[in-house]
Amino acid sequence: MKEDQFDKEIMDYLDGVTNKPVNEEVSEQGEELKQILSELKGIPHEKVSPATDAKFYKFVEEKNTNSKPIIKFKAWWPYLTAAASIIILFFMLTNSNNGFEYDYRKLRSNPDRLGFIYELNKQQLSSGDISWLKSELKNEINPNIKVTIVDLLANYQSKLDNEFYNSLKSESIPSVQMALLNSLESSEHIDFSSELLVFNQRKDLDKTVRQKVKYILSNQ
Amino acid sequence: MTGLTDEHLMTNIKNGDTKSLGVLYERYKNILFTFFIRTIQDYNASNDLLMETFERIYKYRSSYSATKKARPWIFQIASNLSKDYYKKWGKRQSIDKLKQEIIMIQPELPDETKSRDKLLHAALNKLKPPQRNIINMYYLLEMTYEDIAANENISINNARIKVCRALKNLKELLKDSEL
Repeated sequence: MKEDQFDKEIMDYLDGVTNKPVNEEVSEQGEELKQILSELKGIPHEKVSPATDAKFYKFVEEKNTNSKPIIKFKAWWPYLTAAASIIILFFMLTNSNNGFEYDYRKLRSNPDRLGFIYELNKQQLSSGDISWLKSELKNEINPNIKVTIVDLLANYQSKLDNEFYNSLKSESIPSVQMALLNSLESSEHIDFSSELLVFNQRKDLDKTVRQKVKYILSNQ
Repeated sequence: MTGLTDEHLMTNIKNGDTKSLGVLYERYKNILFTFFIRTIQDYNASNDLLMETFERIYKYRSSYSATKKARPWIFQIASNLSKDYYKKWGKRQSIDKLKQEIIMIQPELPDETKSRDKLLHAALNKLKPPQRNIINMYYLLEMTYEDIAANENISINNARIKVCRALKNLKELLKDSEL
């Protein structure tokens, strides 16, 4: 049987066009593929991060603002403003000491945590936030989150010290090593050459990482 | 409003109702995000493409015909975006070794299903991007062969064959990773 005909018969079986293929091989393969398809369908869907939800609703709000005429003053407007002020005040009082760490701890899945860290690029971080992110970097095991933390902290070079870059010594994931090296490269106040020379002796270094180390050393 | 059909929501959106766009977003956000992340394997880009899908739905709302089903129309927008993404970035990614080391983020799963699902994810990730796209259109978005064919610019028969070849490859990759 030609391959195209063979595949067509398999698909007829998978799509329910035929109940039982005559050809034994088609039947066998069809059964296996049916099993794989049912397993694929059983994998739970990913969850969109709250950050993306926020972005979407901001987009919707913008469309509303652009398409609607300016709201005319109404008698209830001052009451609404007063109520909103009370809600904001209450929110500020109950959350004032928690910072971003508090909200981050509430997130359960890696995609949500990653989205949250990514969105912090739009915020001004305090020294407390930076300390928390530094310790988060040490404890985190997910490479994507680690890379995002390093990229975020790279925006606060003046608040980063040798201790932060020391994490390079114990880091084994090349993508995270590269993120740390990129950040180090843009730092103007850190002298890390002696540590980099030692780091470069490591035998397990990825070729690209080693090239980056050499590049930084040659430009210092 | 959450009980309205997709077609009804789309008609509302055509008339400028953004609340209906919100309902549509809540209805489709997770399946579309899953489609993007399983097809292009990049978390940030998947978020961007999800946003772009809904921006396009809004932008091109007037081209939606109320006599047609909304679901395939939405999925067609999403699958075109993932295809365009690969045309633009796919080549660069395939030679970017470091990117390959960034593991796919997977949903939290119970322990007993974790290992099998991981194998499936790993096998899917090893497929070539066009085959991954086709498989995801077929089993996840449950697109018809007609829609897959339109997306891939091929005949319906060819679309069926391509789905079959992609599934067969996936089966082989799954066997390899089980060894």
